[in-house]
Amino acid sequence: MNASKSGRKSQFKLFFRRFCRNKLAVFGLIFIVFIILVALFAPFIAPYGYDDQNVSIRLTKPNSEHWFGTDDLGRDVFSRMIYGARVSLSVGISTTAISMFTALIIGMISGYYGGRTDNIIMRIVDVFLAIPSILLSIAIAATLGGGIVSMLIALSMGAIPGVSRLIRAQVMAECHKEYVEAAKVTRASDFRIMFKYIFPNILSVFIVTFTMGVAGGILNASMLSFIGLGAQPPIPEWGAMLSEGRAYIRDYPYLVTYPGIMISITVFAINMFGDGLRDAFDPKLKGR
Amino acid sequence: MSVILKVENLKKYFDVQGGKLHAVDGISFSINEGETFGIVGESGCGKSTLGRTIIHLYQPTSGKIIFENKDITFISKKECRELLRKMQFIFQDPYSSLNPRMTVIDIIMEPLLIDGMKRKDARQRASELMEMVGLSKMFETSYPHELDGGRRQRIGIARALALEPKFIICDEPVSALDVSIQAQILNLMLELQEKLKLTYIFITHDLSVVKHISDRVMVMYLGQTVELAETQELFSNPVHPYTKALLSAVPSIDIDEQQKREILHGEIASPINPQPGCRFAARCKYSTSRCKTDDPQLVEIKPGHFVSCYNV
Repeated sequence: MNASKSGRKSQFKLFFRRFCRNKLAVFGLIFIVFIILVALFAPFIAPYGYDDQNVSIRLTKPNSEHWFGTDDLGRDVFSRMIYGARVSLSVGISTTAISMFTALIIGMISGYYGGRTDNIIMRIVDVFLAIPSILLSIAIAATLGGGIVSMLIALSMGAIPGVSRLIRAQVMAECHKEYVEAAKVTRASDFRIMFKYIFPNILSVFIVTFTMGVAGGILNASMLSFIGLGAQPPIPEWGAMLSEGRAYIRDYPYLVTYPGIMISITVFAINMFGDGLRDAFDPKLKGR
Repeated sequence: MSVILKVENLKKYFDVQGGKLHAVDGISFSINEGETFGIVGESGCGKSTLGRTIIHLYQPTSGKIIFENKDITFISKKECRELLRKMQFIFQDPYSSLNPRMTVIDIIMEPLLIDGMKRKDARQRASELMEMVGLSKMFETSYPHELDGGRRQRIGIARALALEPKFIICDEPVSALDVSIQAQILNLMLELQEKLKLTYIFITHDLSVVKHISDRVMVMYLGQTVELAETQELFSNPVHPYTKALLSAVPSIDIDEQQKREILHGEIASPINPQPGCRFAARCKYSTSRCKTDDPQLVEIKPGHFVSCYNV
């Protein structure tokens, strides 16, 4: 009993130590935790509501009362950015969750059964892959109309084909290992083999892809909002804020600077975190 | 002694680029209850494929497999599940045949849980199995990568024994292990055979191992049977030129004994779309023109001693 507990613990410790060696990844992790906390406690942190308008002070430059200034309707940019973290993060995470879950099922079936099943599924995936995922998302969002929900659907659909391929390749590689044959001999059902044997063994790839996917999701959500197909006013999505501030960029550049910086740093932090995770999961890759 | 497994003219071809790969090409033999049947041959001769085809990890191309007087050549998934209750498999590489994400006890419990046993009972039974194969209780919650090869192979054996099979196909169970540990595992397998009345097919390329453990031995070359006899008979009186060359390659610990090695020349013929004639003809110094055109058949030259060669 004790032997294994310490074994598992030391494995995690080793993993954690490898992760900590990468300073940028640690920065990423800290920043992500920070952003999540900000998003969770937005109402307590933000000095103003995200839709509190005060036209008499519209377009004031950053000052002690409004740290990041106010926008064209007199709303506090700082507060809107804090609330925006909620929207951006949840959109990023939920699109990735939806797309990864769907892709897991598609990739698993395709990779595990192989042959004709694989051929049919992959040709369909190829059709979607032929369309750039951004264009696909835009097309879907445009068809469904604006709003958060249609943005979620559009972004997840855009990400599914690529991730399905990745998971299929991973599953195929695992299927050739002897423990899968051994599982067949122990009379395990296909479903059991897929989720009790193969899935835990591709989990590290899954987690890393998930993390990177969140960064991509946030970026794409901002993009859709920027062209007016995502979050609709007055929802304070970072991309939407960029879009609203665009009209005043000559005279009031801070309207786009702050949300822009926020998007960049968040995406950068998540990517660095994902990189660090990948290296920590597979130490053989690093430094070769 | 009754026949437990009978294989008749079994063939397994794989579709590959450039034709059909004849991995197993017309093998016939029968195995009596309680015996150990050794299968030897060099890498790529189809011995593993033969084992995997018998247990239906691969679908046979043609031929017949009769297990306990029942034809099991072409069976449904459900029947195969039933078959696996009686027939089990021990894998070659204990490093890759165990799921790295499961603990030892979980691995051994798997076949029991899949069989519908309650978790508590399965745990109890798995502990018994661990004791039976000589694994200490302290390894129950270890992961396979924390153990050495011998202990891992013990896990593989315990897993195979979980459902109390009668018949076990061992695919090179010791060739991935250190020599000192090989002996332990072989002795364990012999012990278990006696205790549980098991029948083994023992696939290996190691002649000293096969000599130690088998009652009868079949020598394979490129998917076909070359020679089949009782172990004593085969080792003291090999007839087929290939068997002779194979046996002469066994190193001896006696330095006074003059080694007369028979070195084979030439390449192994390709198993993809093979030419008619004896598969060994190109490397055989006794080969005649007939060897290159006609397939030799397995003939009984002495009771229980079968050879497939024209020159005997």
